[in-house]
Amino acid sequence: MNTKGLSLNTIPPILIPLRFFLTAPIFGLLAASFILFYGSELWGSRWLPGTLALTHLLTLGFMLMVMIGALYQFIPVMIGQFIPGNKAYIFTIHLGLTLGTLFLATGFVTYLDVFYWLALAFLSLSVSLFALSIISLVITKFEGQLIIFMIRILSFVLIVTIFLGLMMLLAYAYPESGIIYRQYTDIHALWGLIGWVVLLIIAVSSQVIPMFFVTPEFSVRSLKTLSVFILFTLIVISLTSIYSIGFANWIKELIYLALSFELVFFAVYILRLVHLRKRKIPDTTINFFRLSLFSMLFVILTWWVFHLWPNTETLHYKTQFDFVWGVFLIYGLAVSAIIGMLQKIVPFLIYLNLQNLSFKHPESMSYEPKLVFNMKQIISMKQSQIQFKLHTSSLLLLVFSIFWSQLVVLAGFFMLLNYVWLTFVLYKSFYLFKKNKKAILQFPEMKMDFGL
Amino acid sequence: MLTSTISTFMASHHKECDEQFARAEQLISENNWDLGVEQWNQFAAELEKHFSREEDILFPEFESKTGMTGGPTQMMRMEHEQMRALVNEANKAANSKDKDQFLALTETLMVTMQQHNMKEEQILYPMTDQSLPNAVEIVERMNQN
Repeated sequence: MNTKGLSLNTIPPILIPLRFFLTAPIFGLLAASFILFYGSELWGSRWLPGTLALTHLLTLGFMLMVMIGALYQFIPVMIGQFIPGNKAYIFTIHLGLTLGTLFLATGFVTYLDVFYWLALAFLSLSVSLFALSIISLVITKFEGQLIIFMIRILSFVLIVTIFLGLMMLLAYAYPESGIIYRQYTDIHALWGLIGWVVLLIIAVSSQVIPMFFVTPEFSVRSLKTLSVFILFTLIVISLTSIYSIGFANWIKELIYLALSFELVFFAVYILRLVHLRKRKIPDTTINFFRLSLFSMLFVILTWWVFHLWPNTETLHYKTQFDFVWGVFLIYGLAVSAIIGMLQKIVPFLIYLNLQNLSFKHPESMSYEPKLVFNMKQIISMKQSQIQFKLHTSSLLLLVFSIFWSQLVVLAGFFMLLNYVWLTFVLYKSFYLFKKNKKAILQFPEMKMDFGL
Repeated sequence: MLTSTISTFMASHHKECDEQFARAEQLISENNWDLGVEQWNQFAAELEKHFSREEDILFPEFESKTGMTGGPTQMMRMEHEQMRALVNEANKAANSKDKDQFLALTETLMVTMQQHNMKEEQILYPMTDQSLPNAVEIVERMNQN
């Protein structure tokens, strides 16, 4: 392994990841308000503007926002190199994603072309900058490491997802272009929700689950093979549907079936490892993680029912189940994993930054009460448990509201509560950080050299 | 295989420490204080043994061979101090049987320890394996320590 140029001093300035983490829940609040405002109208058709706006507030505004922030934190620790890009560069990515998502949602609900154009400009700028910096990091070096392999696949998946998204956005902004976008919608969703989300969960969990929960190691070969299979299946599905290759329907179903087996393998594999963990103390992140994987398994099971044993009775519910799958994949699979991860990553970031700061101001260490918080003083077990209850109840209510429309206000309300709580917990954490940082800085500084 | 001697030896010691840590944490979370504290002390001793293998043997060898004294090893030493501070606090919590405080500190220690281990296993140990031709002898000395 070539270790030249790698660094052990891999903590990015705290405001880089936090900027993304603190913006994301605001989009969650907006999404929940949308549900309260539109009510069960949202479950009428997936093409409704409100529904499209809601989807993208969650997928871009919440999911991608946190994921980018987390990658700025994870990647340097995992591979010993920062993601290239100075503060202004990262600020542009953040601002572009924030404004782009807001413009996109506004475009969907107002039908005004100008917002689509603005969204197109800001989102393409933001995501291209991010993709470029990630690619430049992994294109040439580090042979063999699983994480580098995964980042390469993920970069490709992100680019495909975003490219399809931007192409459809162009069709909205400039209808004269004649782009027929509807056939790309499912493929865009598949690359985003199965490709990007599942592969990212594979990449991150393969690194953190064995460490934090003391489980047996993931088999590198299995994960690499699985990731390549998933990628290959996505490519085949996309090509056959874009070019309407005249495969018989049963062959297409067979390819989807292969994908579903790959995903079941992944979920069962990880759940088994989690079950075998030696660190069995109660942990809310594990609960979030299980909820995430069970959401995906539920989608696959019900998908099988519809596709393998279609009959008039089940097909009657097909439109509703399209929404059930959407809710479980976005709010169940992705959002659960993300909120679960935030319960650990934010307290750790704050602890680590305060601890490092206190080493530079050593006299602060003897101050009582301690100025360096432990993780549970930042987000307590109880706070995380409340979050889990709010999240699970809002997920179930959302799913039920698809069948019983009178529940939709309650579902929106619980989702709002879920994000109000997340916003409160994250901003309170940030406040605690600022307060104690200020206190530590009152003590004299000692010079240290951690070059390399 | 010579190129991975230090990496393999040290990484497997990380695993040993992790397992002892998990057992202690589990026992104390079940209010089994007697066995839990005993297990915790064993873990703390093992962790200290690991630190001293690095600080007294491995790091000085690496520093004298490469001339890098202010860089990676200094960073790792600082992180050892962070973990020692957490272990001390957890000792106090264990002595006063304050379970919530103990588990809050072990959670923080666990994450700190793992990101530290990751840096060592991914970067520092491979660096030492590459730059120290007497890796086998160093492992032998650390093993006797």
